[in-house]
Amino acid sequence: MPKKFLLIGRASVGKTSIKKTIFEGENSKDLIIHPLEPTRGITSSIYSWMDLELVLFDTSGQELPFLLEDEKKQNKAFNKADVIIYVFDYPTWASNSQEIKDEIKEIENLISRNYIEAKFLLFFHKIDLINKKFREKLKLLKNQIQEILNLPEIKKIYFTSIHPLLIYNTYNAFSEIFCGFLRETSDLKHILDNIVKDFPKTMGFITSKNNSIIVQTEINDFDINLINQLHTKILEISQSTEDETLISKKINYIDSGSKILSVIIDNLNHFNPNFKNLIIFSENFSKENLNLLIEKLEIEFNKYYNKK
Amino acid sequence: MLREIYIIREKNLYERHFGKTLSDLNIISFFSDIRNYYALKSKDEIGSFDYFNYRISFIKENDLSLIFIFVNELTDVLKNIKVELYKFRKVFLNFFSDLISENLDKSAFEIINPTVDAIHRNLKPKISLVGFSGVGKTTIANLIANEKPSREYRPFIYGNITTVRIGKLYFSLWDFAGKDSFSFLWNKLIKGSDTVLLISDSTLENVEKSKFFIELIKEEAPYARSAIIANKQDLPDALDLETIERITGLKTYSMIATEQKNQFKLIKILADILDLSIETFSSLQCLQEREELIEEAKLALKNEDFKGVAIIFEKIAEICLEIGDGYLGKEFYAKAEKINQLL
Repeated sequence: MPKKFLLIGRASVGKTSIKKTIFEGENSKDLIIHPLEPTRGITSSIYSWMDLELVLFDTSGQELPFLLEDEKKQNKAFNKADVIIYVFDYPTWASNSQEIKDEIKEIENLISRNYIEAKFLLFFHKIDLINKKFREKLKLLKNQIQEILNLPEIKKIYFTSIHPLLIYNTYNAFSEIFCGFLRETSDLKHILDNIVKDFPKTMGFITSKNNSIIVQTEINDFDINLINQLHTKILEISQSTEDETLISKKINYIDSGSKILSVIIDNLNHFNPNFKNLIIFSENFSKENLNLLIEKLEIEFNKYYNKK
Repeated sequence: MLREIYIIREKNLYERHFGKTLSDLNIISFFSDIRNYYALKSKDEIGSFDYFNYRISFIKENDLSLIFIFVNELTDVLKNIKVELYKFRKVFLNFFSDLISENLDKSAFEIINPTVDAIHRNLKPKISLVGFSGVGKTTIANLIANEKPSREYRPFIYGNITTVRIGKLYFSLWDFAGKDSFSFLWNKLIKGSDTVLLISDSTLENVEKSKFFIELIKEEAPYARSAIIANKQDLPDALDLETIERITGLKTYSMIATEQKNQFKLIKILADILDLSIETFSSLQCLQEREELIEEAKLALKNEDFKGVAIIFEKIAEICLEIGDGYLGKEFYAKAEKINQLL
């Protein structure tokens, strides 16, 4: 039974661009420089994210006021939705926060009246436009937004962007949202987190057969500024490991721009054909430590899949 | 109503103007007085004083030599102002306490705008419509509120309260919707108002009777701004504005509330009475112009006057850009171009 996701928000906020970059692999730089034509009406597309089949409904921002008033259109968009994502961007928030608040409240009322099974989430988009100094203070911004919106029913606010350096936030947002529907990935994240946290300055990723990141460990003490480059590296690695013979548990080194990191790649599709690689990055160069890490993970994964 | 807000550190770091400043009011001139005020106090306190018909409240942040200033109406309750002023200081310091020594561009402060907009909404003015039944109070209330989806409509025992947003300006509109026999409830309506609009049907009889309200306003809301809206000016026995002003002693504006096109006139009247700033008012004006142009465009489309439509779209685009609606502006330009190409 495919899950239904709805993208809703004002004109030009970036809903269709999110869909195109995250789900259809389009180049985000192109979309920023040459924005898309406005969406008309309600479009629906089917995607699969590992074992999850989803239908993504994209709506027209220009027609949002009509969508909210017309029962038929409303029904088409909202009916049986599992997740409803309201997208708003930083520039509009800075200049029209009260209008956005009223809009969110209206949608929230609509959902609680007629579509209570849906989860209502917010994407605060285009964070690339926030002054760099405040991008490090996103927690404060989140507090400000939550205080002003004053809507405890809102489950979560994600900070997103399709800018190449920040798009990982959007991938992670969707990963987290989908994880909720996929028992397996949340279990694996749990396993990975538990083991990786004992190794300093180390992060682990699992990629899917279509090269997207489906699991990312907590950041802990890893250098947060490297994460942007890592995502690009992961894409490179994922795409170049089509030939399975290239995979080995050998330790390699990559230049992440400002630092050299050790990286180990392991293949996971013998556990689940939807998975591709397990990739560990670390500032730690001790071979014994890294091999130990991989061994531990193998044991835990084997345990998990044998239980199933 | 929150009219103005300033953050000062030697000079103006941040300012927003919802209401027009008095031309003689220079906040910087109070700066040393405010500093001296704090020199005598050890506590972290909000100070406040009344200047002309405004209430000025301020609080200091010692370590960073910051002073936060609110300019409100005399009708604003100090307790409510204090709550918002403390909140404002807290949020500002959360974002900027470690950045204040750097020379920040004005645009860096836009991140605090949502907090200011929320405070402005919390301190929104109460505007009451008073007048005897049949003069057109409810018609005028509907004209102002315009059946907008953002309108919150709550009936109370003696009428309706509507929260209205026009542009960035929020206010709550209190409309008495009962018979004149409930006149003992008028004072409850007027009390606490920031602005009272006395509606009259412009007949001599009604204007004379309405002097009752003027006395009531003096009693219940002595600091409120007030004016008369002389409705039904299209009827034959309507008195002219000067006569009404002479009889009542209050500034009088003319109105025909049954004509939809007078909606903008009403908004202009409110802007005049509340003494709104050019920023607030010009965005209202632009919004109104844009609405009118869109109607014109619809008509032109119906008449298949495509050349006219293209010209109108260009005008709409200009307005959009003026009020900061960049994307919409670009779109209308694109539409206009497409039409011109096809022609």
